Amino acid sequence: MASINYALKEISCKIVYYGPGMCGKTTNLQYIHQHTTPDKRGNMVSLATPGERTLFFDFLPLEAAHIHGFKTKFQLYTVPGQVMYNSTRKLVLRGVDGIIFVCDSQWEKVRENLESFRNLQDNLASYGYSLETTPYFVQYNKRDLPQVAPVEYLQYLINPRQIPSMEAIALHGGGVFESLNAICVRVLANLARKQKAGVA
Amino acid sequence: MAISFVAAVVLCIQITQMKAAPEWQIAGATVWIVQLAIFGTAVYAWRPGISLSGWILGILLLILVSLSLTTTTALTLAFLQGVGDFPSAFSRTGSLGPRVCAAFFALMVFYPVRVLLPIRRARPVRKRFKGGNADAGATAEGEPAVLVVGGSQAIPVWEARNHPAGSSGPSTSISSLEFDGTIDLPLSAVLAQVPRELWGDGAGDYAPSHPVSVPIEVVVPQLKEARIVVRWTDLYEWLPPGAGRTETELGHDKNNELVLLPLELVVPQLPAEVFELPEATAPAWAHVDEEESVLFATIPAQ
Repeated sequence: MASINYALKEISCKIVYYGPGMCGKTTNLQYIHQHTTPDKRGNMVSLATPGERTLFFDFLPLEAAHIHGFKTKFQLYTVPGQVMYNSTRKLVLRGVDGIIFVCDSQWEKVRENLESFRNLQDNLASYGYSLETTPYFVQYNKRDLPQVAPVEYLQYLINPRQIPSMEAIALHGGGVFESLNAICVRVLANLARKQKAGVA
Repeated sequence: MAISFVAAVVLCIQITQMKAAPEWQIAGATVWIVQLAIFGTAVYAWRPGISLSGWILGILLLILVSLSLTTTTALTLAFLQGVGDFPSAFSRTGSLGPRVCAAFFALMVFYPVRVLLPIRRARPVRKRFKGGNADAGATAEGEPAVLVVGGSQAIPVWEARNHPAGSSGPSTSISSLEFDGTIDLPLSAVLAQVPRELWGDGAGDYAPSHPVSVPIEVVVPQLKEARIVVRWTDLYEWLPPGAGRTETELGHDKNNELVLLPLELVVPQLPAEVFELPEATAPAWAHVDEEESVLFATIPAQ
């Protein structure tokens, strides 16, 4: 969960990139890492196989501009998308403040997206969290590839509640910062709402 | 099930020990005809709409179970009573009592497995759908994304849309809609999903693009699962003559073979209203001022 240090005037939030294997979660983080100034980001930690499959998780600490006098830090994580690493995914979700669900738009991955989204709901439920209370954002990635499903169908499958969503081409940076911004804004707004209600 | 089976055997043994009264002696052929009639009626009643092959299979299974019971009884009787030879013991189980007993328990044993018998679906009325193409609306217009990066170090903003089409349609749930008509899939794409042994000898006689009309009503309820599966018995009816092997040429298992239809060819042919979503029900956290942004210090794009 987000931590607020009033003495240091610091807010720290955890954002997790979730989605099926090879959908572009690490690519999102790499793009962010490559395009943020070194003094505002930490080292990106990535444990991957030679085939560039995330083995454990990727981690990137990021600092945003001051918001209402508070220094805002985001810890960006990815999860391994492969089905067999569910315990790791569950572990990474502990204390999550916001989720970017990365969809692989290719036809052959449509079913995997759905399974991954259901897996996300199950793993959140194991901690007593739900998508009703945890901000998330849906990113339809790989829109530049030829064999992609229409966004309407992906929306119909993954996002019937019409949570904020966006098309993206993470490899070239399209939609990467926009998605990050959208989730960060909602995480902070949710935090402020909880503060006001005396929950956090 | 096991208890019922044992009970049946014991009961049969008891009955065969009784000397059948002369008025109960019935000709073997009559017993068989009555038995077949009972089995046939039972299978049909338990599985309405069963295919012919399924019906015959059901009757044969019942006869098999019934004969197994009778044989077991005869063997047990021969062993316990010291009848000595099996044929005479078997003839004692052929009277009405043991037969009825065996038939009754065969029906009991068969009842749970009746659901596995194939059903013949009614051939749908073919009506070509002339509706919209889902692909056409895939790039619907929306508001451009919020600029994230700050100051002069901004990277070029990618023209993303954050409200894809489908969000402004009427409030209609998919389950409340009724879809009629068919969609056409190329024969080659359909056969590519079918195991070779199910291909008919005439499969090669048709052009790869020969249309296979699939009823929309079969497709739409499965869209939520991101895959469309049909049973071979159904698909066979939609294929052109000779492209698939007939039910009688195939065994029971093959008739129930599941075939995956190519989603990428099905979805673009469906009417746009299939994907219309009900009124948005986003949680409270989703509603923020879209002008708000969190600024990250970025370096210019290379």
